[in-house]
Amino acid sequence: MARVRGFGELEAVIMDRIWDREAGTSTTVREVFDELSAERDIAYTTVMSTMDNLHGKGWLAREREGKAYRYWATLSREEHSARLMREALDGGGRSDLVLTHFIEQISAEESARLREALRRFSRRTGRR
Amino acid sequence: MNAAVGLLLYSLAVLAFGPRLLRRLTRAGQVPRLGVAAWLTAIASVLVTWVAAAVAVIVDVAGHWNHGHFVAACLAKLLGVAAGDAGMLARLALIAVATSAAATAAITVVRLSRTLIRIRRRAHGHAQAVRIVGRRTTDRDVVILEAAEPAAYCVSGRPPAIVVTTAALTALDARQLDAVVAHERAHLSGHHPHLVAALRSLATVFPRIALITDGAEQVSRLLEMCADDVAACRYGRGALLSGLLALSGAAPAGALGAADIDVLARAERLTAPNAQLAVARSRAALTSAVTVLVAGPLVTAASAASVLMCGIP
Repeated sequence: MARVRGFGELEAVIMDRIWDREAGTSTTVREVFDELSAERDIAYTTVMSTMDNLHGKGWLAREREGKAYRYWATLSREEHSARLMREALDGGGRSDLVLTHFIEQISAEESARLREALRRFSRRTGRR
Repeated sequence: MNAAVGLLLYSLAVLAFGPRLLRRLTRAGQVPRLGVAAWLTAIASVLVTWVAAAVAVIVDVAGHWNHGHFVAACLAKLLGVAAGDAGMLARLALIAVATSAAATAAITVVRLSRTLIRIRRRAHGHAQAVRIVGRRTTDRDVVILEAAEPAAYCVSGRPPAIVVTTAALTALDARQLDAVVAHERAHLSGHHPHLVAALRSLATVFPRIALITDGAEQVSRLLEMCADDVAACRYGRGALLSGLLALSGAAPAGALGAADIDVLARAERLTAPNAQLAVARSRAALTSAVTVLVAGPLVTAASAASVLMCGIP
């Protein structure tokens, strides 16, 4: 795995670890830190504050157990993917989310005309 | 005062004739970059004109203001009006106009910056979430998202992200994928998402001004063509065109927006042979449009000022 650059990427690495666990299980900062420190140079407090951030942003839920918290993912990776896709495909250019799509959804008729355009193009380049 | 009236008349002319004219000049998208510049110049010239007109009125009122206490002066003027002083009535009307111009400007600036901040936050949040949920690739800016919908898009953020869904990966071959990613990368390196966000904020704040709402739509369309040109230049028009087709065929025809016709315009553009004459003509027309739009407010203000200075009514 690539070197971790910045907190954003560490958040992704930690979420990967947590989603890789069996659904319905929870984990502690210590367990995540032990796994990560086997592969990279990382401070315990960095893992702790990153997981605290993830909790603050709603990615992780937690419950106090003794002196430490036990963390688990609020949604599965698939649920997040579905949510992000809905966000990306909804709105049709009117929403607050500015995305530049490679291609918007088009109708069957337009798709046929597009196919026709491609055929014209390949015919012309073929002739050269 | 003359300058303010002149500038407002100028902006009304641009608002009335600008959208239709620019739409016609940029429809085929022969020189998309110049088309973007023309729309932006038109919008900017109207906004600058408004600000200049407001400033002219305010300066005018402030310049004629009697020295002394504001409230006292106001009261004196009110008493003057009550006594039937018609000149005073006109002055008061002017003061009201100046005050409301300043207030409107302030409110607009606040609304505009709020909208911009909201749009920016949404985009950055999405980019960040995509980076956490998606699979990273060897290209640092490209993220693969597990999804049944074939889609490819970019979103600004820190850092920005190019998102390609797994369904899109299945639909595209290697060369098409390169072309699609190059297209999205061209958007990011050209700061297109920022431009679109700024225009969309303006369109949200001024929903009834066709020049701005049309401009936001048309500029997005032209930016797609700009990105197409970059991608086609590197990977060939064929790869880009078949990439468009591969991603369009698999998409369910759900809610259709205005952007749909643009795909065909883009395809036509990519298939049409490069007509030198048409490109040159389009370039000349757009360049003159930009020149007129830049010179218009300057000439209007200057002539109004000279009339004032020479004392000709």
